[in-house]
Amino acid sequence: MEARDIIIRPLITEKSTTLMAEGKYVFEVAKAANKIEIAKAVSTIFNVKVAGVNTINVEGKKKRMGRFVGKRRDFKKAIVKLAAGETIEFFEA
Amino acid sequence: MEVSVKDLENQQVELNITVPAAELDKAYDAAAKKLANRVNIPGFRKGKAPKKIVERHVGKEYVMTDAFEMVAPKALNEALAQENIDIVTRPELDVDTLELGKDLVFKAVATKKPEVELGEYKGLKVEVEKDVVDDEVIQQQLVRMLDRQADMVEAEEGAAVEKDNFITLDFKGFVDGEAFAGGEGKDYPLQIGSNSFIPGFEDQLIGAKVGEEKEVNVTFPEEYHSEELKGKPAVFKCTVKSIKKKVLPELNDDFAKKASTFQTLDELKADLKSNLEKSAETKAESEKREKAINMAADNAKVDIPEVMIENRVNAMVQEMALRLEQQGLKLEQYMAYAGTDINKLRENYKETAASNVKVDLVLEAIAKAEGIKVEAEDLDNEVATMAAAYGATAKQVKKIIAEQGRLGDLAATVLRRKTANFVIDSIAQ
Repeated sequence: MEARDIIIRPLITEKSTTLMAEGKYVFEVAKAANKIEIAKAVSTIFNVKVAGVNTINVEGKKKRMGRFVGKRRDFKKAIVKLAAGETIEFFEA
Repeated sequence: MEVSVKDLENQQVELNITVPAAELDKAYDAAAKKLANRVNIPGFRKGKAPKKIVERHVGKEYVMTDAFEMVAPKALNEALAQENIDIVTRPELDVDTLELGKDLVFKAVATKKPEVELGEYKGLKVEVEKDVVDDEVIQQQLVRMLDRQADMVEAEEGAAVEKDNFITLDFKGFVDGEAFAGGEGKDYPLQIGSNSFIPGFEDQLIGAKVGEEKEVNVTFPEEYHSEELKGKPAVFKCTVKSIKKKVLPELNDDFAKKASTFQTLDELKADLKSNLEKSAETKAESEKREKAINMAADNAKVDIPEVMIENRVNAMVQEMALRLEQQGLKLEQYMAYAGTDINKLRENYKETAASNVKVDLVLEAIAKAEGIKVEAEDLDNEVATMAAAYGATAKQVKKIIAEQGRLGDLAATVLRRKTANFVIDSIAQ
């Protein structure tokens, strides 16, 4: 898989912005990607050293419209910790 | 903060204001924080988004405009205070440089409050004529009272219509031998001599008897409101249905008892006299006040800018619209009834507005010259009177005024009144 196919988008939320202070950046990543692939992808795209990756499968919420039950999409979230001193400019806006 | 002032024509003034970069930056941060509270950014609760996220979401320019709006009015007020300038219009702001990390430079153009060259205002000689209360005036009052107490008495059989009789009649009007719209009436009440019908009509009915048919020949006046009828001769076929006479009660103690709480006519007369004298007194007093103030204003020289008058006219028109609305009328409707339009209305108000503005300016100038100031207790008194008038507590009234941001206006009003009293108290006796 290409690096840009693995990293789908950055997740910018209140929680993720607080994590940035610890050098952790949060992305939505491809379901099939593993931690090693994610670490490689992040370091090639942003040109940084990755210290570690944690992932979590986020299950889409069940939503109903009247009597129809639907489901939002699932996705995989990756929390990437960079080596000390590294930053990703993109997030800094 | 640096300020340079330039006088323009029409009593306008231009201020060039420079605000240090640090202050602008501070305002910028504050603006971003405020915006964060307002905008909804997905992933963040309101007010929790950091500055950078807000910037990206709404755009730097937007934040900057907000920051400018926070800084500029404050800076302008400071500049005006520093240069000791009073302005009377909303200033027009024009930005020269507005960039992060650079000094903010902007221009403000507004109309200056004109300088008042005071004339004589202390010890003015004011003469007012007081209404005389003599027997004649009292007699007139009594006649009016009699009239109100008058009885209507049916005239005796076979009586003819006389002047001042109240009659009911049927009538049908013809122009060129044809009946016209609105020319017919049944049991129509009419007072002979009241001139409520076209001239000549009522006079020709004199002498008519009940049940008798009479033809009245009249010509519609030239200024009659109907286009088709004006200036045309007409014949009205009239039948008098009833005649009533007005009988005035006799002027004696009995009448006094009936019409008032007094027992005798003399008491009633004495009461009328003292009332009339009192009202003459108050009238003379208020005339004196008005004259004194106007005189002080006339003696002063002010070059009033047009905008001030325009603003006052606007306020007056608005006030009038509000008053009409309370009566359930729209300003447009009223103007249609009164046969005027907004321009004529404004033109009418202009003179009063100009003199009001002048009086206000002069009073302010006098206050300044005499060192008259509004004390806290003056304001409290004013608020208390207002509270009494509206049936609320002083605290509530004060809160409402403060919420509307009109405490300054109130203080100005009180100051003007105080100054007016000063001028009046100094009138040469």
